[in-house]
Amino acid sequence: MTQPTKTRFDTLALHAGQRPDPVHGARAVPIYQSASYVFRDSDHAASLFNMERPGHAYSRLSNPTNAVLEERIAALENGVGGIATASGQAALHLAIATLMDAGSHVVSSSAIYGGSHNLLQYTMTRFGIETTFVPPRDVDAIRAAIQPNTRLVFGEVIGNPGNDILNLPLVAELAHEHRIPLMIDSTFTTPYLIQPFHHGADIVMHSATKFLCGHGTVIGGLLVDHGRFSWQDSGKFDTLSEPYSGFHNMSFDEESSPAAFLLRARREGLRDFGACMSPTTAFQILQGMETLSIRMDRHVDNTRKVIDFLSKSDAVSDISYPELPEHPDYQLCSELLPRGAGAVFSFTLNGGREAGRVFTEGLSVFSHLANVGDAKSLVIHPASTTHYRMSAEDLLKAGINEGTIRLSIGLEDVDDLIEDLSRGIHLASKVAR
Amino acid sequence: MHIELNGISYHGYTAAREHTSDRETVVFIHGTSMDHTVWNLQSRYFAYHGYNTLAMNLPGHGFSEGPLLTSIEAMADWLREIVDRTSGTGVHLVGHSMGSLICLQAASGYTDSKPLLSLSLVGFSYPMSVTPVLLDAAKNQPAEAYSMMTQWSHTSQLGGEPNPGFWSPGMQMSMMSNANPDAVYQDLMACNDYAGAESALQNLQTPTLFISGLLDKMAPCKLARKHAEASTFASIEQIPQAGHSIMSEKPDEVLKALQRFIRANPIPA
Repeated sequence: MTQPTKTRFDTLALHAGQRPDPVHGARAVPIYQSASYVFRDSDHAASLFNMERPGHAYSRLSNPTNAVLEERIAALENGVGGIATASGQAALHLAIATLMDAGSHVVSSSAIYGGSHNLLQYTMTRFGIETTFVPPRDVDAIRAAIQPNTRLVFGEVIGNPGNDILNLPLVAELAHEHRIPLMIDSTFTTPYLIQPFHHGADIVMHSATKFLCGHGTVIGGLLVDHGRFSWQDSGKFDTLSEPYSGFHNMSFDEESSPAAFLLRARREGLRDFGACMSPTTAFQILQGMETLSIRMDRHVDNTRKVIDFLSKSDAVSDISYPELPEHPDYQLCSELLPRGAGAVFSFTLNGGREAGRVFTEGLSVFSHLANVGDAKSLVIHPASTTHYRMSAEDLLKAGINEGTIRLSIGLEDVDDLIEDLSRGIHLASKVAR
Repeated sequence: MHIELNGISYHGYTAAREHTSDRETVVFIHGTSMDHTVWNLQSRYFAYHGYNTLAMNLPGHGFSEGPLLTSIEAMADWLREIVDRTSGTGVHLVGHSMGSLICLQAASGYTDSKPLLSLSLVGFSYPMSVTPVLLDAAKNQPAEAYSMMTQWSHTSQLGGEPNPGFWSPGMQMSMMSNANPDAVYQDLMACNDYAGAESALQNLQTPTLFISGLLDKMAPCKLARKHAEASTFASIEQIPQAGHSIMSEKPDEVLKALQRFIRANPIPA
């Protein structure tokens, strides 16, 4: 036998999970816009529902288009499988609901997406699941926050809003010492910039709305499992290692150790909570993923040029991009993210709240909205929009200030982006305090 | 189910179904550095369709305790002891790859009071010689061996297999990575060194089915075909577009072949 060669990232991004349609020969992934699937006979139906045969019964549980997406993200992340959900928030909720019950506890980085923070800080507490938030750079605080009932350590590769880099190997080691999995939100980085499993993470989630889709057209989430965490050895995850009366006393860990988490997430979480993805959405995300590496390279390249421009402006300070030597995670970033630190960052526009508003409203190529990871460049000024009711003091507590601007750098000609920013800075300078 | 032999606990998957003494038992045996999971779909089906099912984890594999066994003969002896502890009216043995050698060897010296009704050898080849480059990797860099075996055993790294949401090469890599790191070398050496298949096949009087993927690079179909054609007790199902990971690449086709064969060989009335 000749030595095998591994199929590489770009090939997987285009092909993983799909074989050309055997009936019609369609090369693109067909959109199976069907709620349900015809059974061959009663035995076939019963076997499908009882997990004796592979296949699709009802699109809340699985769908052929979604299955391609799930397999593709698993291949790109080097996991065992994936689950497509209605949104990134649904993916986070599904993971938590699969892993733990009321009375459990999460240790989370404090530098996470606001929606994730809301879910953990306010909503899950209503259901008896508490979270302790810790600064992502403070490993001692993470260690101290772990309790006997902790069931998950959670963080983002690149945190919000300061672009803090989570030390994945260190935090993974810490979590594993306590027989707890580490789950990483890798939305800003995508598997092209980092594969968290290679650094010790156990579960990865994405808001596929962002760079994976890449075009700002759909809302969707993805969960991927590495299949290496031993739920049985941990002894802390009855939902995965004990018989589940809701599915014929299946012990998911016995059914398949590598797939236990995903099996329960699908067979209980998707079945009962129902936050599944539309197949049309899955198709759009697949289209985006086909060009992921090309787009991410361009995103990063444009970002570096924009940052170079901003760093030379007297009107700008505190650019929070980890590739800059003054960023506290500069070294860690170069180790974990050699291909780049993504395309989302913040800076302070000198001149206060009004200058920020004028700057944002004065841009014409950048779109003023609350999203990131679009092919189009995006801008938001939190102090005049999402956080406009907050005082200057409260903004500082949230890690931002009156002049904080967040940019998501797109794929436009970078010279046009720089000209646009230059124009905005000029307008803002007229109202600066 | 846990079966205790000489103070060691061995695990077998039953699909959470109690075994009953009035049913035939289908015993599944996995291959090198694998575990019972490889038989999930097929074993679960039989458990819900009139059979006791027992997908065993070999010693030191999966949830089974105990030291690794170093020869196919020792594994076959162990299997016969396991079968002896099961309830049921008769036994069907189903093995994949190394598991097929174990089942064949166990069948050749089978003396249990429960009749051996059938033998299904999936991904079988003999000789099952292992390329030196793989043996070397297995001994010195198990992760590299897992990678080689994963790539050789799938017809494509691109997936697109029937089980929704799972990337089969990733599943195999994780399953092997979770195993005892010594298992891959010990198991491959056991396959490589096994010399008993010729006589076992010659003495075979049990209905035997070979199931082989036409694109199998690790256990070429032509070897299974040769042995099937040489035995009056044997037949072969050759499955197109399937490699060595045939149970995940073509689960329904494997199940159908097993269904037909096992149902055709019930305990005599």
